[in-house]
Amino acid sequence: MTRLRGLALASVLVLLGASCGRSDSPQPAAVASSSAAPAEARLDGGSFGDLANVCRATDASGQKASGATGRGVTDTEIHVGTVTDKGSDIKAGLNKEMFDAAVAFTTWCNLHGGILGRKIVLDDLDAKLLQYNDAITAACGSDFALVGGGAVFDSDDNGQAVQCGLANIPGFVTTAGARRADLTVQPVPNPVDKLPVGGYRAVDSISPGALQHYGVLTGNVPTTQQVRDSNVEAIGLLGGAVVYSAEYTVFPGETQWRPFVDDMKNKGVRVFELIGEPTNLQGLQAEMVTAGFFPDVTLVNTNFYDSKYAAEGGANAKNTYIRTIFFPLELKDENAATADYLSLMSRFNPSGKIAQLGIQGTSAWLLFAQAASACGSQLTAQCLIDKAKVSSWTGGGLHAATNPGANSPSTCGLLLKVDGNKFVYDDKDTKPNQGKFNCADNNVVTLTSSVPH
Amino acid sequence: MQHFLLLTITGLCTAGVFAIAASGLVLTYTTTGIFNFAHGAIGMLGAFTYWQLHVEWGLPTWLAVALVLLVIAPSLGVVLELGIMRRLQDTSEAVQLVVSVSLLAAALNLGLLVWSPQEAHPITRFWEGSNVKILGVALSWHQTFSFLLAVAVAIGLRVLLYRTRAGVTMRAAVDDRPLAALNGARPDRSAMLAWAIGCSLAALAGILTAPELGLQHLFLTLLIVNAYAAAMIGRLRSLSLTFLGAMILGLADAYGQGYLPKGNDYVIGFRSAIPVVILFVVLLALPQSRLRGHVSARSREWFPSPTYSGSLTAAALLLAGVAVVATLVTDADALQLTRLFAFAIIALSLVPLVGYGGQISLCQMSFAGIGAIVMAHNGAAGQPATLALVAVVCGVVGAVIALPALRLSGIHLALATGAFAVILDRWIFNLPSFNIGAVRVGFFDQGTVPVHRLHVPGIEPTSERAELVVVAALFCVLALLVVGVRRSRYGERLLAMRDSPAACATLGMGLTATKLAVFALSAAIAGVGGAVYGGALGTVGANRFTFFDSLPLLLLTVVGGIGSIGGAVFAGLVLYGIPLVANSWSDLDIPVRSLPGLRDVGDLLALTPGLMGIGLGRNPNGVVRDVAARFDPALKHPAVFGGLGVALALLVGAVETDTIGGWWFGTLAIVAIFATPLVAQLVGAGGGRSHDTDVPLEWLGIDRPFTAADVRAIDAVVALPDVTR
Repeated sequence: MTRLRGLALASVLVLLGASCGRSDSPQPAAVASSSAAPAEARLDGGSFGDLANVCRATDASGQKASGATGRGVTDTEIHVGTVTDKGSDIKAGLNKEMFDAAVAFTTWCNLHGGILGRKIVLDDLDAKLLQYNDAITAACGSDFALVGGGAVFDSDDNGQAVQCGLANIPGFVTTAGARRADLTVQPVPNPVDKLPVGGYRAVDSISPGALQHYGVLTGNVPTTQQVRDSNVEAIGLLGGAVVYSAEYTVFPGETQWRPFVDDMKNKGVRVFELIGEPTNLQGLQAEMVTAGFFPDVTLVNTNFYDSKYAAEGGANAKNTYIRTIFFPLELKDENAATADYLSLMSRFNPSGKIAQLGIQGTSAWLLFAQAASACGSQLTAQCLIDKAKVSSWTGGGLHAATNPGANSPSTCGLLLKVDGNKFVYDDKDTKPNQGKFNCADNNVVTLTSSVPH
Repeated sequence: MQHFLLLTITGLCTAGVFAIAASGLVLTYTTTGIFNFAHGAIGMLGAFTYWQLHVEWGLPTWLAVALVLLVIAPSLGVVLELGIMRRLQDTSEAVQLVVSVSLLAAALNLGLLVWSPQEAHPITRFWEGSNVKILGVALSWHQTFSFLLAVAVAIGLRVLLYRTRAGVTMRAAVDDRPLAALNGARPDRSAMLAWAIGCSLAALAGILTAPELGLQHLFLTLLIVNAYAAAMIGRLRSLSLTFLGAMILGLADAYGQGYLPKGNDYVIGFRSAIPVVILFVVLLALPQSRLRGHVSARSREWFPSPTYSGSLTAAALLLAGVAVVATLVTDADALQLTRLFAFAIIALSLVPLVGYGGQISLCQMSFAGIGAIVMAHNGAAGQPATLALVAVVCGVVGAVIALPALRLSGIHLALATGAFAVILDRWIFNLPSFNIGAVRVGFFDQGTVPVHRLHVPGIEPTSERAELVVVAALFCVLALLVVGVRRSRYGERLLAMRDSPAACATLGMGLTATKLAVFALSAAIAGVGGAVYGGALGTVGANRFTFFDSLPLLLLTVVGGIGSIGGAVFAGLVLYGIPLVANSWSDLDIPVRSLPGLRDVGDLLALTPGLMGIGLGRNPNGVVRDVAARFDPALKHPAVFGGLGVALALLVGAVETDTIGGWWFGTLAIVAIFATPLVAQLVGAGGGRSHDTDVPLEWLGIDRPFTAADVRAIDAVVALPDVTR
């Protein structure tokens, strides 16, 4: 019955915007043997990707950290919470991969001595979608920080987390309030005033001039409307033009997608973006097949990097591209950090779910470990935040470089193309200039008019 | 013009699916008198079963469809009729409604357990890829086929009902069931057939929709709400009008989609509310239903009138218990218990309305939502005075809603209030704030709003435990108010209205004022409950107060016992008490994880209310009365009852002196309370009820002359007061 209670939320759920990419990504059958061996060796040596000594018992001079320097911090322990919505009645297991990654990471980290001798005690903060406030109340009672998690309604605590001095290094943030909250450092920044636009630039190479005919469709909820506003402003800044903008009803959901397709066709949309859940694009693209109309480019966010979407909607997904700053799992053999994540999961939490958000959470844990170690015996919430504000961060190589210190998103990105029931790295249109990524300073624009008050 | 054509044609195709679903709904309602809220959930199960057979197990399309439509779905219908619906004869419409809502919950949970929403369920349309052009509009064969099928279903049903013997029997059973039975028809068989066909049509609608819009559990389940309006245009009787209704609905949906502005925050929500707006309007346009005259004569439901002394004692005991518990629990648990009582207040609002007055409402959570909004925007300091404002605003809204709904009763009233709730949660609650003159009307600010807790002067406002006691006290006060209503002359009028509206009207009693007042009272209580519920949750949005939150509210209260305060407490207990217990049990690691699809005890418990509701047909008076009856012998045996008191006092003493922990206290207290009836039985309490004559009762006065003792024994057996004194 509790499931029924929340019914109304049915699809208001995963509406994470541009760079916060929530997804259930494709699950590789097994870690490729060629990369498994070096990955194991790296993990056994306490390294992850290109980060050495992530967790260790003493610092370089042989000193352990000590002192009860904050709530949840003792000589021997640091209590850290990971918030997810995995216990949600409606979307069972939502963001579960983040908690699974947290279990694997902390187990591995403690095996190597923890944070300078202090073991990480992981608290499971399950916000169950509608109980974010409760999760934060619990954390304010016992935890030093929130690390590597994320929740859909992440400003429902009314600022309680900041008031009680809870440092936050999240996997992702969604609401405008959480995107600019104090005491927070985002390893993969998703600020309200800066937007990565590398994907739009790439459109020019796929279909020259198409940005002059941009159309956008989004759900009628504030989180996605905010993303839409940012994107529309960015299109203007790039010299493009919006020819079509509409909203679909998130709840209970659209029963007829065809009129949207017809509208788009009549307005001559050539670049199309859907901000919302994959099931909506599935319905829309099925009608595009019937109507015989497809925009030159359909661009979507990382939340479409999801094996469920590929299996259910891949067949109808023509000209569909996903932009991401993460190294795709498909290319795990070419990237040490991705192989390390898979090895970490298979060894320390073999039943855990492997997905894009788990990688994002792991990046947060790596940043936490580095910052907490740097604070040593002066580990306070403020110190953690200060030390986490580095100017360049790749999560050991899990993703392109971001700037958590300036809360600025990555100037790099790549495109994946939906090809039948799988995703392929689109080398031609990504135009990589740094490894697999395309990087340029003008891949990020500064927003003004669409910034919420 | 081309756009208009396209909208018309696609609208008609959608309408086809609505028509199929709505015909199934109408068929079961006309034949059995039960409005099946689970129709959509059954369609969802049908669609997933088709997926399982066709996609997962590789059966050919025709075979999979035939198996689902001709074997599996009809069997399900027969099982439902035999196992559940047949037992609902002589129960109130509230109970019948709750049983089908329980079925909805159970079917939905079953679907989620068997076909995990995390996994991919790819499904293609019939004849994927082949199109047909109609008036220049490209359509898939699947859509065209859906429409043609709807026409075929409409014709087929018409033939069945008017040209076949089975159909004539069905119609006869609808017109006059006893008369049909007297003439040799078998109404039970007709009902079984109707359920079989109904389930089959639901499954067909599901199978046709799933490839278009995806195999999504909730969406498929709820889509059917749109079909309610079509069924209502057919007045739940006429299949041809239902078909017409579905066409109107499909077209309204399409034109709304095509012509209403798509970027306007005020309008966007209205679009999805169009089907329920139509439903609401149609209900208001219905001719006045005949006043029922013989409801209670057939009803098996009966609730005793509570006494003031008993109610006061119960309230005092409850408050004392809460005060003790408040000192024992953690802050988080205190918060959870506060929600229990806040929710119980909302449930309490149903007791006068449904339990006493017999008026079904499916919008109590909407009133609660309005209460929370008023509290959020006006109660920044949590002043108790704001509750008065909440009560007034909600009371007025309640009366305004009751006004157009006055002429309705039973399932029509339920659907009208349900439509109102859906209009609120899909549209009104999501509007941005606006000004009417100098008054700012705000809702949930298109997201969530913080609600402040009640701040009673002299009581620490930040303490979760103090808040628990305050809300529990508020519940007791309102419960006593409801008891007062029940015992007043007004309460008698409510009962009279429930028992026989026709008799009331004949005697010159004004039903209008009685109905308006009970709606206003109920809405005011729900609003106050919503205000403190919001405070206990901290932050609330529209998603807490939807139509689909009102369903479990009604379900749990009816399961608990809609005619008694205990039913309201039961609703709170199940929703917030069970999870608390489940949390402490999950630490014990009971190995339910080995069962497929279950994560922990909580999952198992989540299934129980639905199952309890389904069992209502057997015991329509609710769980609380059942349990209370077991305690009856103990109450009549002071020694045993006193013993319980001593045991509880000892336990409280032990826990206060830290001799035992809170967990042990809880467990032992529960054991002590539930052991009491057993103990009472062991020591022979209640034995005085059995007669002590030497001959069987029916032979008294025949085998030998009556004695005074015999008369007393007979009085005791038939529960009459002792007249021999």
